[in-house]
Amino acid sequence: MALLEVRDACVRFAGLVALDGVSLSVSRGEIVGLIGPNGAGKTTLFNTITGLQHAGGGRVSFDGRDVTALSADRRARMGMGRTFQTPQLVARLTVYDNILLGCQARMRNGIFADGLRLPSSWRNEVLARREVDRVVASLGLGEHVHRGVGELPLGGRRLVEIARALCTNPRLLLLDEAASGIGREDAGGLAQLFRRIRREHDLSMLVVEHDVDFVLSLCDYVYVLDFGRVIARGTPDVVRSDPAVITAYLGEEVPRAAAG
Amino acid sequence: MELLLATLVLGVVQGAVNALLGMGVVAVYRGTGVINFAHGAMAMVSTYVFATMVDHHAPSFLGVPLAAVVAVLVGIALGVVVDVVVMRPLARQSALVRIIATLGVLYVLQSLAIIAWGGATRAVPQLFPQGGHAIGPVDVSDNEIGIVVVAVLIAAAVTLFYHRTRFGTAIRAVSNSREAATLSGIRVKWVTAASWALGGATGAVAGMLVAPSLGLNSYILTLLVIQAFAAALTGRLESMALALAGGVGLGVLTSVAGTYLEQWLAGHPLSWINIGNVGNGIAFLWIIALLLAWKRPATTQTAASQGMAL
Amino acid sequence: MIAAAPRDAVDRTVRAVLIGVFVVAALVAPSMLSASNLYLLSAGLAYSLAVLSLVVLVGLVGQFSLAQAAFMGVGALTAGHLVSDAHVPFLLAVPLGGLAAVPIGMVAALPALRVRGVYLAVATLSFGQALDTLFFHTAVNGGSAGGGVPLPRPAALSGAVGYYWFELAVLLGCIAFVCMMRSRRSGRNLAAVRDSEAAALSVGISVVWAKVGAFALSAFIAGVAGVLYAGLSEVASGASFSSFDSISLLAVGVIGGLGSAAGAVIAGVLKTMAPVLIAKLPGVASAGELVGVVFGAGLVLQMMTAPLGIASKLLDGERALAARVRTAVVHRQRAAADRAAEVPG
Repeated sequence: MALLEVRDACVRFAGLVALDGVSLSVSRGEIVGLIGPNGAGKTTLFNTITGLQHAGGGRVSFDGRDVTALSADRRARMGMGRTFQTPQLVARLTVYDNILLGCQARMRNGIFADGLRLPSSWRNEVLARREVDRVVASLGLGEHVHRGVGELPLGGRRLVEIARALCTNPRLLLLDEAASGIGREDAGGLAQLFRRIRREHDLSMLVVEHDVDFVLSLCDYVYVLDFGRVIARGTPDVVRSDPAVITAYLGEEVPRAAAG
Repeated sequence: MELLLATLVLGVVQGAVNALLGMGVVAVYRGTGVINFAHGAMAMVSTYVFATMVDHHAPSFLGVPLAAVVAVLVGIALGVVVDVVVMRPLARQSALVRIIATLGVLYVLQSLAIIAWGGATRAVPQLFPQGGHAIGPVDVSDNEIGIVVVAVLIAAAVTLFYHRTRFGTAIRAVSNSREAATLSGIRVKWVTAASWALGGATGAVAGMLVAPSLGLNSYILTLLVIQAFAAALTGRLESMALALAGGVGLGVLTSVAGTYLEQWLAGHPLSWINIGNVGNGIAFLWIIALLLAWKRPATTQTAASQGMAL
Repeated sequence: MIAAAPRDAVDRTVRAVLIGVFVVAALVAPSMLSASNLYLLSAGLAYSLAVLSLVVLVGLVGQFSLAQAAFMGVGALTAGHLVSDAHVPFLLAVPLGGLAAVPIGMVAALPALRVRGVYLAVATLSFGQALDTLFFHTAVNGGSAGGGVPLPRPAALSGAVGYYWFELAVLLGCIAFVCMMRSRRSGRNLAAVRDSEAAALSVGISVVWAKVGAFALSAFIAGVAGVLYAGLSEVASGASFSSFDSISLLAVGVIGGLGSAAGAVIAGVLKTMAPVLIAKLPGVASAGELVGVVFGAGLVLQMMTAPLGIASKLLDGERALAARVRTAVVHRQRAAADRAAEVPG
């Protein structure tokens, strides 16, 4: 059974149809890509999957469970990690503390224990820091961890978001335009990083990207969204030659060479 | 049955004042995006001016009407002063900052009122002559009829103003989009000033209508802003008609609860509660219910805006 | 002290020195002040604690409340009944008063689950007003004349100076609690909820419970503040905890700075000591209601300039001091290194 199943998701904003019956599935261990022109509904679909956006219709199931009615934080605790198109970091915390946020849903110490620094507070803090150290080392963020997040360039902030999401021990990682701004020399390096993350953390990925070539080279399966509908789907080879995709991108400037 | 009818009449009269106060809050919100915590305090100051004028000119034929006109003018002036002195310097700040500033205005006006007129509660003469009618089994005073008629007339006038005059259309345009309104040549400054003036004027009228029955001191009217919010939130701070309905509904509910809870609770262990002030409890429940029924949770709204910004 | 956490050894040293200076000043204050001013300063410490409860909400999690005085009232009246009716020791009644305010605070948090910011201010104002008018002036609580419930202090705390020290200890304890909480999981959760609810949700933090927890802690601190305030006059009177007191707390809090514990201390002391200063102005017989005008205008002015309060200036000063210390340290190390280099040569 697929890890993530979306069936006929519909979302409307004040008369505007953002998602019009989108269905999609991600199997275990798979990297699935989501492409489409600006305004196609990619981020809305992400928000619907993760629970930040109420679906007007349709259902979302995760790991065999219907999660349509569950709140976003419940879904995150079930193993959905995500990043945001505009990185959502806590400006007042350091890079390290931002990444620590990823561990916090699993920690049980509350205000009382933290305010009095009870043993449970120390124990959880130590465990969480160990986890963060591991992820930080794995992503090569070591030199930046004690800076403020405001001092980082866009790419750095995206990496911090990925690190934070990885600390939640996700089984599905949803990356919203994670490649733009990361500034690897080539898309190949980034694709390698993503594959390594999949292997080391044993997870599936759903990836929204602007760079079509990058998605086609990285993903096992690709969905193409336009005007809130899936206009094409299949393996990268199938999608590449799909006439509907070519039409959708006609006139749209596809940043072919702009890797990252 | 008689008790119920009398209770309902009392509720409608109270509610008319709530509605009028709520409409003042809506007027300011629509024109400026500010929720005016000082609405009650401004009404209180205008009402003090009214009462003081009547003290000095009561014997003359025009005493009360003249004082009422002056009080409304004071209300308008107060609104404009708040707009020019406090709100304009804050024009670039967030709505929240401007709203907190209205708390400062409330604090200043309330303290000034005590300095100027003392802290004791005083009586205020009624706007309408003594007398009454028996409507069915219930006696309704002219004053009560007057309050409801004035509230309805002002509601009608304000609605006509918004929908039938050029200036009203301008205000509605600004409340939809400040930028677009500016581009289409509407003078936003005049719109905000007029909204504050309208708030001040309706507040003054509401204060004069309600003070004879509540008594006047620096805090009773100031805190009526809570009832005003309850009424205004009924129409999501946008709809005058719903604010009117909400105000009246709140008044009726308060009156009914006050009458029957007191009977029901007599001798009950809970009777130590000050049931006479049940209106404040009802206003709180009213506000909570409205806010919890707010269609989308706050988080989905942020998410939705992100979704829009694909 | 909440706005900027110390980052290195120099920061920490400077912070420790400043806190030391504050504590020493607070300890010698009783011997410098007249009896009436010491009374006012003691009231100021209770208000500092009340403003700290507002700092937890506004500064840490970005929520608003105009019901803090009502939380104080619940704490004070509960403690009064516990001590004078149930003969609970005063020292035990202090935390119990705070605990009594916790469920009340959680009710006030209800609308925070759906709305935030200004709507929360509206809801909490109406909540505080309902508590005040429905419960605080009943016969049980001393009646409408403001008689109140007796809250006698124990013999050990009966002296003015002794009680002042007790209040100071409670205030510092609560500040320490809030600061320690802030740099751990709970504090980071609150920061996340404040800055980006989407981010908080995406890592599985329950925004609802973060807010409810913050309100519970805030109500506890406010409740304790209410007990301390009532303990000063040895009577818990609902008349001291009206909606205007909540507005007043917000006003002085904003003037002092709601982003830091330092701001809370400044704000509380300002609330009771500013009238003394105002009364000294030429042509002013007594401060009276002029205080309200000053605080209200101060709130408006603070909004116009920078809504960060006096404490932000203090923290700027601290940062400047730390920078100078750091430069001096570097100079000395360099000089020492130069000397060390000269020795072999």
